[in-house]
Amino acid sequence: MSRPTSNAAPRLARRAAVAAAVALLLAGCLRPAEEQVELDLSVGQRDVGIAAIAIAEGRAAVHRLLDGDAVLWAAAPAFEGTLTLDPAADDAWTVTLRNIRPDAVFEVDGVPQTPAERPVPTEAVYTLTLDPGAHAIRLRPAPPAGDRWRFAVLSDIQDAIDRAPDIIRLLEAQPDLDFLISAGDLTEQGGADEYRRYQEAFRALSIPYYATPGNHERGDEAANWTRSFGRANHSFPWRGARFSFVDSSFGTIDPTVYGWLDDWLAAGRDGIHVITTHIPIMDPEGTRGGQLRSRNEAAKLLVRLARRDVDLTLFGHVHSYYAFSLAGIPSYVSGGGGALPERLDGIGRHFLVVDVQDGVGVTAVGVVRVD
Amino acid sequence: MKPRIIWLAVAAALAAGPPVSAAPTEAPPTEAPPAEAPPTETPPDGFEPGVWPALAAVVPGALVHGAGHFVAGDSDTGWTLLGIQGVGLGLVALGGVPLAATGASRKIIGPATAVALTGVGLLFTPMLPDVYGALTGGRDARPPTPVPLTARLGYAFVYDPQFAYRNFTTVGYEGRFDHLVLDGRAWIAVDDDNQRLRQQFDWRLWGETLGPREHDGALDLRAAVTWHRFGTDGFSRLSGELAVDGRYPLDRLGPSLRGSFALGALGWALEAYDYDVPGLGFGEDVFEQLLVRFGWGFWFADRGSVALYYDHRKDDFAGGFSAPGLGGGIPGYVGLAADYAVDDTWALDLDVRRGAAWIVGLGVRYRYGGTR
Repeated sequence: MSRPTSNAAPRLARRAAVAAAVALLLAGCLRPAEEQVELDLSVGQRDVGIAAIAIAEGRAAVHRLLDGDAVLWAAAPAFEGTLTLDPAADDAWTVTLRNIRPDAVFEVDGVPQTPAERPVPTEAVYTLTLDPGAHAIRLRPAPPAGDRWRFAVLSDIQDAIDRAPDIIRLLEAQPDLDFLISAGDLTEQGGADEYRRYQEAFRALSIPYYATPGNHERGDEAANWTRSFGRANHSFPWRGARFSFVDSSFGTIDPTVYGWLDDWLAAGRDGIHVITTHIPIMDPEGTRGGQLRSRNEAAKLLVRLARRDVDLTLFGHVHSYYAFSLAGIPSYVSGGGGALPERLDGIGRHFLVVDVQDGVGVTAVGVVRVD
Repeated sequence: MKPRIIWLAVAAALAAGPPVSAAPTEAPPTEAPPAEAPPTETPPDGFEPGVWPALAAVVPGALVHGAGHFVAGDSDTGWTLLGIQGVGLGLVALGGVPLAATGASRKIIGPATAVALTGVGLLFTPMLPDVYGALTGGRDARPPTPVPLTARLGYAFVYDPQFAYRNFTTVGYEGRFDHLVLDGRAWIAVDDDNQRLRQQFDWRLWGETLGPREHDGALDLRAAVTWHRFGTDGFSRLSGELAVDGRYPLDRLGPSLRGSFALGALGWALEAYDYDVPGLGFGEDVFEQLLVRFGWGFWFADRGSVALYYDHRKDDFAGGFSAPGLGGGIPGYVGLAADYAVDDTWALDLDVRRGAAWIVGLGVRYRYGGTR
């Protein structure tokens, strides 16, 4: 008589476990960007036993870490972190910084370093002698000159990377650009080789670029993005302003990221705050639907941004140019990197140049046509 | 949810239960049967529905609609379903080619997407009646008799990871007149400050709203107003829409499809937002929305129906699916709607939707003056 009872309990437990797994699966399906959040948290953290790197807030991706050799990709104009060496580690180190501003200063334990080599303006190689233990590393910008500055916006290159040199030449012709930001779709499918090709092409650009992925970056392994460019969701201050990149490549923003965004919005409330996502929060052409998957989520996000006085929102995804307003926030869609363009709009390939004046705000958003 | 799983569930219901009627939540409920059932065609001699034809309707039927009927021996219906698939393919091309050629130009995006989505509906939906007809050979099932006045009360569970609400009370009514059907619904959250009110006006262009009639089809010109307030989240939205909404009884296409129907709607909405943000007023943002819905279902004799459908709208609780990978646009949601008349007076409703959120709703309907 006891057998059925003893079997019933495990059976019930199995059914409960299956039900729980199914429930989790169904709930999980509603958070497609959750994996990216986990990956974001791993950016800038690498431990190979003999050496370890930890970059605060993931503002640099570790491209390589070997005994005596580190390569970092800056995902922000400045970062801080720690390089910790085991007693058995080599004391002769080569640290390569990629995607940095040409005037940026690299410090180790508070001492500015002089690059041994500068292959391109955005890349510096430092040769260092380091004792075992923890070393504070820091990339800091040079003091600003003047109160006016500019940045460019370029998105949706996808399969048009072969034509990127045209765009880079025009970007180089723009005076006083601090950096380039991208609202995603840098590649066609997000493959590791595509990212390498993109980074190689843009070594010709003398300013760094910071980005968030697009839906075309979701055609391959998600970790490819974080290995190459760092976090998909990130934020950094620049000259009293704040730039926040929010991953909308799945048509939704993960609830965890909304928590991060609240912190960024609070940090950026007193200055200029620029929010960049790939898929627009709302598509100015409502019948197209190139926007977040739920208009409810979109409106909720807009309330969040408007209440925190966001100054500018920038989007890609739609391969054209639109200037419009969302909850009173000046908004731009600029997907002119060369991917299949929207026709009949008279725009074609293009990028934006945004002018900013300290203490005043965004003073102009201009369109630079490439073709 | 995978289509095959959905179909297996439907097939199981067909095999195990008494026949049923349904329409999506916002669609007009069931229609009156005629005083005398109209004469129906019979399938051709040698027509043998069963499991194997039904399987053929899936493989290779998923690609070549009508395959189930060809295997079962009803090539006329098979060709009809294949022809509908062909029309769908043509419409996909008619809408899709200009979209691709112009990079989804703002000058054509609305009409071209409407044509392409209608094509998608015709391209994929015929597989379901093919399976149905190949499995059952047609069933003598019709919707229950509509009544002049209906009251609804229900509960809906909504799981959207972006919002705090989970539990809703749903109430509504339906009033039927000569050519007019009024349908009002309210969703009121019991665990959050969220309310959605909708009033729908349907003017019957084809088919009867009440009383005897020759067929179970309906074509309505629809106007609707929806007000949705997200008190906790600081915004509300007022939308107005115009659409053509219909239900087509598929026995008109082939005798083996008796007891099933196709659903379709096409329309346009304009919505104005009111953000609870200092300095912003009602109508700060106004957006359009394309409305497209298509689906298929079957009736359970005179008791109710089950329908599967796709809805393109993104402003409902369900939102839309994500489009990961290389997808260019954001699709809408899929749903299953069912209703079952327990007796002349009372009926039950089931509403399941999956897009950006999961919705499971259960309701009871009081049918004033009902005779099933």
